[in-house]
Amino acid sequence: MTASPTDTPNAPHDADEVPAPFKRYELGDVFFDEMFAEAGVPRASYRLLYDRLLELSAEEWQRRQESAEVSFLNQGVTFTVYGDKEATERIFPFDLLPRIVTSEDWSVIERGLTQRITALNHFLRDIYSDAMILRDGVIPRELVYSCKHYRREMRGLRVPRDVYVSIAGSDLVRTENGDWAVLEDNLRVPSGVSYMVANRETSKRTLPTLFGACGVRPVDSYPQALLRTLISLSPTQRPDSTVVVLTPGVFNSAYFEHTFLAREMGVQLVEGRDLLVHDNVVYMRTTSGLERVDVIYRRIDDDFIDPVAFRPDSVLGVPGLFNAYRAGNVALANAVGNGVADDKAVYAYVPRMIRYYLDEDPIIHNIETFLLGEPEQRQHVLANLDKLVVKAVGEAGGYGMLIGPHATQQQREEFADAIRANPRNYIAQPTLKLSRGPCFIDGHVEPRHLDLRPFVLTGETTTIVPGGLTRVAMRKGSLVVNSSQGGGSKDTWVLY
Amino acid sequence: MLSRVADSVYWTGRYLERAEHTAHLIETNLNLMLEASPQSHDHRWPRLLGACMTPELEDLKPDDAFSAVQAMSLAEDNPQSIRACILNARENMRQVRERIPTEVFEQLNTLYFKVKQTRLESIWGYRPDAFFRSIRHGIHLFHGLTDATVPHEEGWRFLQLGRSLERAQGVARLVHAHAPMIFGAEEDEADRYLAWVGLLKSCEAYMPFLERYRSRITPTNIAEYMLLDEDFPRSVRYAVDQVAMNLEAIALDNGGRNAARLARLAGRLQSQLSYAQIDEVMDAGLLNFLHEVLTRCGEIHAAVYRAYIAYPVEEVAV
Repeated sequence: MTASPTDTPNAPHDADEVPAPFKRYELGDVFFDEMFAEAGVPRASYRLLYDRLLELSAEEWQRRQESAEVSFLNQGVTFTVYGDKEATERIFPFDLLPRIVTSEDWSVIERGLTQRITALNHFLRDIYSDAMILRDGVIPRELVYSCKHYRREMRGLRVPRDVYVSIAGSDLVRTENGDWAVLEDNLRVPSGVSYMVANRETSKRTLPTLFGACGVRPVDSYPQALLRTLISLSPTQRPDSTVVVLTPGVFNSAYFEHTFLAREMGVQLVEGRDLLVHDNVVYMRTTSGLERVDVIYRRIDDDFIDPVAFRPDSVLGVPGLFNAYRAGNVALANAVGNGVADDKAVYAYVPRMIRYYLDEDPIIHNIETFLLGEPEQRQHVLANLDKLVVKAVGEAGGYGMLIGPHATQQQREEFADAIRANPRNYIAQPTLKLSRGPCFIDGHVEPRHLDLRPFVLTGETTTIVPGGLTRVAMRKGSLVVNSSQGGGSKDTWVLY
Repeated sequence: MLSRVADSVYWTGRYLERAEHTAHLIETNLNLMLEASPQSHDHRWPRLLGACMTPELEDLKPDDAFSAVQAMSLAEDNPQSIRACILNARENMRQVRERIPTEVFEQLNTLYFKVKQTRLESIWGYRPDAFFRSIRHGIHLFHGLTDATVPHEEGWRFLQLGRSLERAQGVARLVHAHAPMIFGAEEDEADRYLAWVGLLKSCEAYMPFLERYRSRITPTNIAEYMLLDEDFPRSVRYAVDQVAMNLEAIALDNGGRNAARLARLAGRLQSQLSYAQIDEVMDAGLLNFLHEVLTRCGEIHAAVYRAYIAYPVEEVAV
């Protein structure tokens, strides 16, 4: 479309005359809209962006969108797709209109996530030691012990500073009335933080004036905050403790992030074969000999970190690593066995954990969740499959999921059978009413569904860099934001 | 630096040198065979296959240059083919991609696509040598870029180490493969002359050789130049000097342990080549001398591993 000459900030527009860029912006009344309080009336935090959208022509936005994409290629923020004939460098879809979070909202998020991660850390320490919470009947024993990520090997093992979750990435959504809610916790190896930093670099380059005018809090201190957190976990407390990032290798889809974090922290990026354990001490093999390793930020799942302790067929891990960990000679971030706390069924009990351990009310709520292991709830869910979202508890990345209203009768029946066969494996939630925010699509501004993943660092103290990864379902009407399912991302501007 | 990274860089150097060497051999011989007598084909391709460590081809007909070149260049089942070497070099560079300038990796990627997408059938009809030249030039460009943009520290030293050690071995093997032809008596005079020229040209040695020896193309002079010359960058001696120099620089960064043993091995070979007299070498038997050089190179390779890459834990003071 071509911008008409009347597309100026001063052009009069009444309710009947929607400004050209917003012709395709259908507000509806089902979802919370990040930008508009009501039709034609932007929220205060979005006012500057709104004006800018009217001020610049569609061609100019298109040009900036393209320059943003080039910026990603130049920063090397790409993933490689291997075809038979050629390998191409692709970028994850990026939308250049920022997602804006007010400082009031951020303060809720900050307090709410700090509270939540603190409680989850208490929970992990508890279930791997005295299991008081199970004895007091707050969480059913079998729910914890039947979780496939529960690690008996962790019983009685003290981790440095009692911190199990050093790096968390909890996914937040906004419900119909604009309240923040936690959709899920990622307490094992959450990824995406490199996009938080790269998206920021890109939006500063492509929207410098708007960025400056809005007053946005910086995120680029994340790698240093991460390094501080990791060093604080060092069991030797040597001032020059050696930290490494452990990657599965170049074929991992998050390899870019691993190299990014290692480089930005100024530490070595190692693979399992670079490490060895001698007398329960971990060393890395360098050309100048063996160098002791104190803290491992591992980006490999529990199952694969040590073929002696866990999966014997793993070639990614380090034989003997778990013994060194058990002996207290090395810190692992995150700890082994965290998966039990981000299990989708255990999730339903997090508000009770917060009350149990902290004696506080949860600041950020959960999404209402039905546990299919409980007969009454299961009956209710099976009768209402067409209204609910069903998720397999062990899956991530948007796989193993049924979105009832959008599914076929046959898909619903298949899921019903699967639920009856293994109820513990599923949970159900009401169809999510994720909030929507403006995206630049084919020359127009259109609303798309989003979520937000802030990154919570816990060591000696808790740090949350003001920002996060906003993921967008780029397909019209889609509620799935995962990158494996056609999701993209945008920069998140937390205002002063 | 991490041993694994040093290993990757070292092998990148080796594989690219190997690919370049083979490309050069093929390019030169495609031209030479145009003028050679029909019977000289009997030896040409088996000789070159041997020099490139390509497994012998059963039923290779003497005039079947295509099959021989295919095996050495683009065959997918020969781990020593140009194709395999470039694929391996790229795989090794991927391990250190985040530490090297983008254009260095891109240059290797370009080569990778070139060997992956080319079919010998489609270039055989007209000037196949141009393809092999473009491969060589692509590798030169890679080295030019690393030379100009990568800091000349440890990683770069390992690249040079792999490259020089591979070169010393490649040239020694090539001379070895040509020895019966050059020093044998039964060959046709014209063919023998072409074989000598072929050996020199495959190493870009023809012009500098003529300059040094004023057209006296004799077997002894050729052997002296290819093995013992101090200044010619593709002589075995020059390559071994480079090996010793790079090992010394690496040891400076990393100190003692097995490095001293490695320095002794390299220094011994270096002095052997520096002080050898070509007539004595010829009298004692050129093949013996070449065998010894190749054995020493193998020992150096093993010692590099033991000192820097795959050292046993017990040998390291922790």
